[in-house]
Amino acid sequence: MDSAIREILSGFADWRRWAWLGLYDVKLQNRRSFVGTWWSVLSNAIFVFGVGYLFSYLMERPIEVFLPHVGAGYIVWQFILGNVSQAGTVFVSYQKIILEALLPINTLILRGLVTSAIQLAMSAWLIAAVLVYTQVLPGPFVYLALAGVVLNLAVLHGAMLFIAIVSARFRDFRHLVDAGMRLVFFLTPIIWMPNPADETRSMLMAFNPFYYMVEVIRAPIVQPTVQMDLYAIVLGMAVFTNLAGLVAFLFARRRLVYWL
Amino acid sequence: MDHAVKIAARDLTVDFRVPAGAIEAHSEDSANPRFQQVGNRTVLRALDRLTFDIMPGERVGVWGPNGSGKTTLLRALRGVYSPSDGELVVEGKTQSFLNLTFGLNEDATGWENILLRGVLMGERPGSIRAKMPKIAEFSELGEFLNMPLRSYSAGMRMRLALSVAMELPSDILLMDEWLSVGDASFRQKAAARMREAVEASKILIIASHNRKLIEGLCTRILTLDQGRIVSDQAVSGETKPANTKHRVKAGARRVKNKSR
Repeated sequence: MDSAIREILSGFADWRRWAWLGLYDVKLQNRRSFVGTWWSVLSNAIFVFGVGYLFSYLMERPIEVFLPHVGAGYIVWQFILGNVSQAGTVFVSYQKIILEALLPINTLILRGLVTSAIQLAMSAWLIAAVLVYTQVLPGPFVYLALAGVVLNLAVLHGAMLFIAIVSARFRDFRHLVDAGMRLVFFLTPIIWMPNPADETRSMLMAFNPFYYMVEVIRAPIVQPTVQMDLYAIVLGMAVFTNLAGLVAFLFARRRLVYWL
Repeated sequence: MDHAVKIAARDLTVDFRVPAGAIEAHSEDSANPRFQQVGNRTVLRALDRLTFDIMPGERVGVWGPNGSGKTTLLRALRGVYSPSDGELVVEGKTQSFLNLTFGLNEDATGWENILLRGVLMGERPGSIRAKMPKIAEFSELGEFLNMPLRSYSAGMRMRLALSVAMELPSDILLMDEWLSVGDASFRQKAAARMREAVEASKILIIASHNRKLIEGLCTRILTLDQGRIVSDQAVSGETKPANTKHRVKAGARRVKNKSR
């Protein structure tokens, strides 16, 4: 127990290594393409504006309300999705490193989180562009979106550790997660808007952890008020996922290398 | 070196679990005694009760046919596989060099790959940067260091990875088959460098099925077959006593695991 926790803590403490590796991954990504790393932002932009206009028409919502909602929501979703789906392959694809380099278990996960956080920061420009385009001012507590990002990173750290370990043992798990995430995208208010009068919609949100993860970043950007309960819920989720990750790690500790 | 460097193995055994039903368990007339029944599981006995001591200054060649347990032994010494049974004490910092290409990026230049590899093997980015001129010089890759790794031949990749490994601090160097890739002149240079590095108080362990290569480099040859030590010879020809009495020093990194 002790030594497992110590290993995870030593993973955090070794921040120079994972921060540098994550940064370097961004630098090396898409090296041979002209747009390079900005492709992720560009493809988000194409989706956000395309879907924003289409669904604001289909759902009869004004574009200046709907476009910031989709813009912020989709970018946060892509951030979550990217991390969750890479967690399913991280140990398997870095098998050679794990069988030789003796890294703390979470180093490669933190490396991925750094990469995706940098991409999220790059996509913040897109959110800014959407707000300028629709001439909407961000909420007065917009800086709290950063706190939301930190909470998301904490939730994802535990969730990814859990998914990565289970996926190393059961290779089917990753596909199940991928299939689930595709559905969750539609269950989460990203391309549709909450409506307090609609009970089904409210239920879909109340029991959907991804709603809270998206909303804790999106709300300060597009809404004028602070919802304290959001922070409490996401913090609770972070504790839960990290405990789940730790339990999985305790079980897998000596066995993981044999699964790869 | 002011700290002890030493390896002691007592009945070191490493088992791999075999998926249920894949192989009939070992029986009287079984063709392959390496598949054994432990409890109600079938296991592949990758290392079978190895007992040996390795002292500072020794260069040990591990020789044997494919599948005899060479790489598993190196991984056990590295601490990747913990003993299923028996005892293994490794004192000193190990650095392993089993895989030539892990962590390398095809689109990154030689320089960038030196950094990448060095950081993955435990160095701080700053300290590996300081060592880069020496690494570059040893590799003799010259202008190619500015080219992407894609353009490298297998031998050039080996030069790059080996040059990085030479500059990493370690007491115990674990190497697998790398010699066979290089051309004759680089091979000699690397072997000379390694002899020099090990001279003082380090240990080199190199696995190969090429007897001639390890005879030229090593002071002692452990021959493995079917996961067992079948001979333990000094290169001059005299045979070392196989099971010397030995007491384990306190404070060593001790890997002990009797449970299954």
